Amino acid sequence: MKGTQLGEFEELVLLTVGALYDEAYGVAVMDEIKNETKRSVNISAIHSALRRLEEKGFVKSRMGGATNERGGRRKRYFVLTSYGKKALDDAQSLRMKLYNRIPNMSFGN
Amino acid sequence: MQSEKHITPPRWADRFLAFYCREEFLEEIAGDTHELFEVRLEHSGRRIASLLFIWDVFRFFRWSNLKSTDRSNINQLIMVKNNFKIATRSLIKHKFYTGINLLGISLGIACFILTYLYVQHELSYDEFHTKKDRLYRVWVHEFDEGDEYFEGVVPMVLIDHMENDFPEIDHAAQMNAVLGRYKTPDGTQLTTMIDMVGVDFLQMFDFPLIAGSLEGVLDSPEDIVLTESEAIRRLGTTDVIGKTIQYELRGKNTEFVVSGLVNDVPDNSSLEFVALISDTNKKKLVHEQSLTSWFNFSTELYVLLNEENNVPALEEKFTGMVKTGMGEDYEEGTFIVYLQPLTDMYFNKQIAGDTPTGDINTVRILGLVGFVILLLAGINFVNLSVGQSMSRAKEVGVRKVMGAFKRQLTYQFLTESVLLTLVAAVLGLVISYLLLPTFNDFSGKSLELTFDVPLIQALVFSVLFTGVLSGLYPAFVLSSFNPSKVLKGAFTGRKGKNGLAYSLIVVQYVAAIFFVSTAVIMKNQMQYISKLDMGFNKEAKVHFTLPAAKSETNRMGARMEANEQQAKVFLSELQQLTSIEKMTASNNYFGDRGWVRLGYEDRQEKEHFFHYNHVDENFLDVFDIEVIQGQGFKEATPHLRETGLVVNEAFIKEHGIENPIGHKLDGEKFPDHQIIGVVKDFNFASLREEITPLILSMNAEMVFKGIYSIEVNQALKSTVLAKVDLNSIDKLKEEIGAIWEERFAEPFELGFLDAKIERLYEQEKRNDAMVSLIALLAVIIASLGLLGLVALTVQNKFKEIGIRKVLGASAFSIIKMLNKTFLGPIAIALLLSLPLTWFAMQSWLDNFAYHININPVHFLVAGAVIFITTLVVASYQSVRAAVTNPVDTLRYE
Repeated sequence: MKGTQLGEFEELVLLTVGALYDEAYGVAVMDEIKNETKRSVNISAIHSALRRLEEKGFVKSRMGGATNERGGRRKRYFVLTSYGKKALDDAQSLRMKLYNRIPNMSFGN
Repeated sequence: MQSEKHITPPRWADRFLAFYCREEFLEEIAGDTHELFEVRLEHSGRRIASLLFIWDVFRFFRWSNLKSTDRSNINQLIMVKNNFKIATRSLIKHKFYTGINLLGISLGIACFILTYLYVQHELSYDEFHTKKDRLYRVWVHEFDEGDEYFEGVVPMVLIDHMENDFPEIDHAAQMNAVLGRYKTPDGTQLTTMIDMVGVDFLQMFDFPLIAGSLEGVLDSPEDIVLTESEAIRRLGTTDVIGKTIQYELRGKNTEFVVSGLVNDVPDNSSLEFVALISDTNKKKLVHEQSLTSWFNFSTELYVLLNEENNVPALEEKFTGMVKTGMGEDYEEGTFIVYLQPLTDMYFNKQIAGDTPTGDINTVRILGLVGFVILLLAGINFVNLSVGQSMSRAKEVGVRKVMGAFKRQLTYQFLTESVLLTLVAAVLGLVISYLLLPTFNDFSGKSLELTFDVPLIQALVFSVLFTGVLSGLYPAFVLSSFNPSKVLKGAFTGRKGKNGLAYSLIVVQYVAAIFFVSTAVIMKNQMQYISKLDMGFNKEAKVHFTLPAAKSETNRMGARMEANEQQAKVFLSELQQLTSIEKMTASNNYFGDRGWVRLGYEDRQEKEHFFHYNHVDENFLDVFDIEVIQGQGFKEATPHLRETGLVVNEAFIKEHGIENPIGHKLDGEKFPDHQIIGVVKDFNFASLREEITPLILSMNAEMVFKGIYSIEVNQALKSTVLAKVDLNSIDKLKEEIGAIWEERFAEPFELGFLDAKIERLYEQEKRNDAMVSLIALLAVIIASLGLLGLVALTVQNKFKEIGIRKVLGASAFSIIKMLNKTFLGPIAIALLLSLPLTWFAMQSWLDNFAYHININPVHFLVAGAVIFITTLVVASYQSVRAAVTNPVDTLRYE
């Protein structure tokens, strides 16, 4: 199924949207990813990822109310859809399936 | 301080965002970026926050965020897409013509790219210096005894005057080359030129230091500045500052401390160096006399003028400098100092210096040739489009009926030609990449195909030029067809005899025949030269040069004698080798850099010049040089060997000597001497020059005592020349090598004389090869054009051929009929190119004192080559047409 694959970065964004629950908008997602992964991301990358996820139906969005701090501009909030949740579950279970097949033996030295 | 609220991100960035961003995303994107700006403002201050804001705005500039273009634009875009699609289809449908066009144009573009790179490289010499407008080489216009000299190499005494006497001169630097020897770790001895310069040198020219500091970099005699490659060659690293390095200079081992490192000198620099040392060494390395004499021309001298840059005013002041400097030696108007712009040096062959020179005519001609070839390729396209207009006419008619404007059709055809050219450009790039090594061989350059400005210029120009120019005719003529006529069927073909197509074919063939006959004439001349009887026998000769022998005095005659003695001993050891038939040793030999030229003054104070070679008794015998009067050295008595001169016919002729034997030269200072023999003229220089007066003697000291001017082109060394049995050459090489190693530390190098002589004509050979390649290209392109045109003619005459055959025409008569249509243009082209070639080649041949005469045969050969290729190319199509069964062609009527 073309277009419904989850890229590594997309998965990260999707997870963050899920984790932030009702507070997921561009800057918040970016900050969260920065905090959790220590990796520096540009805001434009977050926006593209969110938009792709929305196209794929993994998240849906709504505009919030007017705010004070950003020149009165509204924020676009994203929430996880059930389809998105399922995609995360699938990714997770695939990973666990493979992970569990790693034989339990000592590694390395 | 302002309150935070009033600090906003840069307005222009904000506006730019609003300009490109889609409405629906603008609010969230602007919101997020502004929010980030505010956060960063608190943390890192206004500057950083603003910069990051701008960065973010640019990062949001992506396809998905862009406003879609408005409606009219979309319409245009669709038309472009449509044009593109139609163009692709039409190109694919006419595979044959597309192939011909593609091949022709890509060859044209490849040729253009190569010549453009060459021309660009030649024209870029010394242009990289930022101060080039104020940089000059100092040169001297010298008059002496009715001769004038343009000296790019000037006396070393000048620099002090330049530096101190003239406020107009900001900097002056001289460049003196000193030979440096060094041993590699494995013991082989190598040499490199080391240039002695002042620190000003690095301030004047753009050879920036990449390590070390300009301050005092060449102040002390131990300082040395290396180029990167010399640093790696000698020290194995570029981390060299402070390391020591040794060179043997003027016989003395000298240690230097690396004080600076510069990039390698670019290819397009007239000034070349690998290592620079301080001119504080000059007292040590240069003779006292050279430093103070006004008549010892020994250094390149460059100056940087101040901002005023007033050359004439400064040159005027130089007269005073010369006058006071020379004192009583000064003679009005014999020694004039001038300035030559640095960028003028490369193409100026008149002022002789030590820097490389290029030939502006070669550059112009090559540039023109590249352009002509491109034009030829463009012509093919036009011709084929004209030819195809029959089939395209209906398409145009239908389109017009459906409501297409003329302009739209024009665009459609232009799209087609530009698309084709773009594909051809890619192909041309590949072809030029493949041809580059060959081209470099021919041109003697080391050009590279890198994506930089010149290459992109060449590509863009060639695509636009061929694309638009070759598309113009079809675009404007085809699109103006009258639809009602075309569709009614009244438009049955081109009216008349296809004037345009055929005149263009003539143009192509003029060029093709020109190049082919040029190549034929050049080949003929080169053959003539290599077969010409030079007056001596060069067959089966080998040569090797002995190292310079130690001489007690520095006088040239004495040095030649010392070399001679050393050679004599060496020759006697070679006696035992049976595969050497006969041998000799002499100072100059055939194919070297030019024989010694001497001058003496006769009693009427008139100057006479002659070439001179110091030989042994076997010289004439080894080369089978014919003695026509008197005797050679071999038969002479010991006394005559000591005092005798052998001269050539040219010498007698110039001096008008009637009874040469026993004649004495009219110079006062010559000791006891006489002419003992006259030899037939032989070519001791290249065949570009006439044979000039020559004197041979076994006693050099005697000749040198009487002369007062000396011109030497190479180090004084003896060369052994031997006639050998070529069958056992490998064994002989080893045997001589073994004897050599016992005596000399230098490597032994044996060469073949005929190969050495051939090398005199390297430049001509290169030109010849280059012209052959160009001729080949021109013939290919012209043939391609003709092939296409014949194919179209055949196609248009398909029915006619069918009817003729039904009425009883033979296949042969049909081939004849078809071939006749294009043989006419070729004949015209042959006639037109004749005077062109004649003129061009006559001036080329004038470079040679010994040359062939242009002969109708040359043109016959060239004509035949063209004629046969054409016939072969055309016959493929005409034969196919002639043998077709008329039933197939007439069935549909």
